[in-house]
Amino acid sequence: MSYKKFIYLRILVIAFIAITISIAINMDNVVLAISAIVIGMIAMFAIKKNVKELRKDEMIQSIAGKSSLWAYSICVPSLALLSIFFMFSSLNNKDSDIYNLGIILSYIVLFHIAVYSIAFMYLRNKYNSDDK
Amino acid sequence: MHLCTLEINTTQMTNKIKILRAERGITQEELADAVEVTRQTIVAIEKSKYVPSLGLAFRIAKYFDKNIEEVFEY
Repeated sequence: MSYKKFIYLRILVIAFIAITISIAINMDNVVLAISAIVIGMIAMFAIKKNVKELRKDEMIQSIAGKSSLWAYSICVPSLALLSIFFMFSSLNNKDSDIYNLGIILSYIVLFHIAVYSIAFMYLRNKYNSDDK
Repeated sequence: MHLCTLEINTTQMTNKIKILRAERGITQEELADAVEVTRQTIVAIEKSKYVPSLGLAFRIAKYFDKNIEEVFEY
């Protein structure tokens, strides 16, 4: 299987998973959603096994890295501001769902920052290592 | 955040890949296959929109039997 065919098949599999999961959500059917994910994973595994060469392009990797950083830089401050807004807007009623949502969002932001920091330190140490 | 530092000044880096390809009658696809990248990467490098890694730059220069400084100019 050529690399181009692999790309097309991968898009088909992703479309299949997305459509099936959206149908499963509408039908309130958890089994269908899980089945779609499992079938998708098996299909991807089979497709990857048959592809002659799985080219890892350096420009795509570079773009992916920058995109990740952009996503992080946009999502974390947005979620942090949202969590502050939710918490301050319901300070009088700390048992409300909005206040709890704010708390959960703030923990998600902290978790995100922690993961980023750990990954950053790990990679920095990896590249700064003096080991031969 | 290091968003600004990630922006590479590609305008300072030029290359002669398009000329070398034309001289040898090689397509972008053939060059891409030889140096193990996609055609889109070759297109971006030729247009000086993407600065290749040192490894890729060496592979491209080697493919044309040239020194790296004969293909890429800074």
